[in-house]
Amino acid sequence: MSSQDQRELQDRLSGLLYSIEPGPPPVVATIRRGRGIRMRRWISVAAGVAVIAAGAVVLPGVLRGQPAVPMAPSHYSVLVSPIGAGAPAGLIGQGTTDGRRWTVVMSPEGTGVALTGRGLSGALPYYQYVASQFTAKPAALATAGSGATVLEFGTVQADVTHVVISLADGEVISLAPVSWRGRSWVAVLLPARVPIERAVLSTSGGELAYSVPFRRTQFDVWWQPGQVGPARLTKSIGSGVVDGESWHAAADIGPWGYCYSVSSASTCIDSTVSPLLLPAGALVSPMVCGSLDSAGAGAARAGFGAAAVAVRRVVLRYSGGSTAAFPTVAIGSGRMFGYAIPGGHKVTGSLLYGAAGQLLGSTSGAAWEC
Amino acid sequence: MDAAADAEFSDFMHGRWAQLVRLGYGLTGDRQLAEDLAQTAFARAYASWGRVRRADNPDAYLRRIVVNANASRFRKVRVGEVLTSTVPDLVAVADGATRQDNRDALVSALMQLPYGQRAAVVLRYWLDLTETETAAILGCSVGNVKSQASRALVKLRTSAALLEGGPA
Repeated sequence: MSSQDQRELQDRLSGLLYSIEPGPPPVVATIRRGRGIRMRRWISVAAGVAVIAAGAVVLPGVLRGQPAVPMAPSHYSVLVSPIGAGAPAGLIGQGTTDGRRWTVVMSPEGTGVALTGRGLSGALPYYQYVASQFTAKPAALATAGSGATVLEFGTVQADVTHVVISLADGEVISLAPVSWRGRSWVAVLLPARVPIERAVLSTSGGELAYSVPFRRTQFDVWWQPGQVGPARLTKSIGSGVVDGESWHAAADIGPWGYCYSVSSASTCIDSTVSPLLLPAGALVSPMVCGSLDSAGAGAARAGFGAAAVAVRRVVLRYSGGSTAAFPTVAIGSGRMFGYAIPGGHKVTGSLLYGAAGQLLGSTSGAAWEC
Repeated sequence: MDAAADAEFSDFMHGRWAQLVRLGYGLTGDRQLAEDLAQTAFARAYASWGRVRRADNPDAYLRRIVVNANASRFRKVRVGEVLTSTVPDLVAVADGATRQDNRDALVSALMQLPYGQRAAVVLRYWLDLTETETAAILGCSVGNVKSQASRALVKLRTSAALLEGGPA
């Protein structure tokens, strides 16, 4: 792009952005928010000090008789209103959060979900979604939005009568699914500053399943009552730079399940790593791969995969003739690895090596289509 | 904070509010989100006012918050979020203003860029920050800013939406 093109772009950007005339700055509301942030910081510090004090067994009498450390005050309120039989078609949720009324409606075409309300901070104007994302059983919940509030919405299987969402500060919110276009939907507007601790699905027969969200937002794994997820562990399974783009793959294991991520994409599974992810007899299985540049065909890609316990190094051969080696990392009862593919290249094959550097096997490029 | 400090903060916010909202708009293409991002940045600045007012470059601090707050918004969004030009039928349109075609085209082209490229373009070519300043706000290397901005410019140049929009 020439400097003239750049100048023209600058002019157009300026024209665009200066055509936005913001209203007066909400100074009072901002100061109130700022004070809230400071207050929460202070409470966090105070709570940390209280924990340390509680553990100070060398001073057993100090805390005796003192009142309990108060919970962080709730600076919010969430009320969910029931949706009656005469409600407008597509209305899947309504209520009041922090005194502001909201409704969540589905578009007649079934291609969008809209959040409406007066004075909603950071409300979503409207969404398109991929319908296939809301078919998982027993539930497919998504978190969306920004700012002071986020929208939690999705589908649950037909026999679910209640979804109970527990927030990190102990608040509990119960949602009754609403039927729309043959599926049961729930929706609620939550304060973004209080993360979700867990969601529980109940049927008329009792608790059906529960989920602890990965990164406080992803309900990927649902456990049966009494089931406990794996112990917490976070581990890098690969990183590097490809075409100037850094990539990083990691395993995050915990009550949310076995979750793997590469760059911004992630997926969680509810079982041990091996042998479920590795087809019988296979030494390696690429699982997730995606572009590091969401706009670009031909952009660099990164992914992660599972490997047999014996495989310690995966060497990829690219269409340009170059190769790159990616070590595997022990996770659970198997091994995982991250890998990258330069832009404009394909993987033409892989070589798999053991701990002593011996060649264990190879794959064709077909397995690495990305 | 005392009343004098609040007044000082109020002056600070009045002087920068419009530019920060515009930065947010360039990143999101949505005015409401832009104002929310700007308010988030100022609220955090207020919470650390003593440090912010002594900072060498409080503007950079605010911009970094806006960029990062919007990036975390993207991380939170798990569904395939696409801001559409067509509002679902049941929704009342909050802002009745009709946008001009060329403005729509530029917004559309910007929103089609990956977030890093979009942020690089807005910071480099609208705020006219240096590559070093942009890198500091984005938390990446100067080389990364160069490559992000360069790719973005190529895409914008070939963007059908932008070409159809014509010159401003």
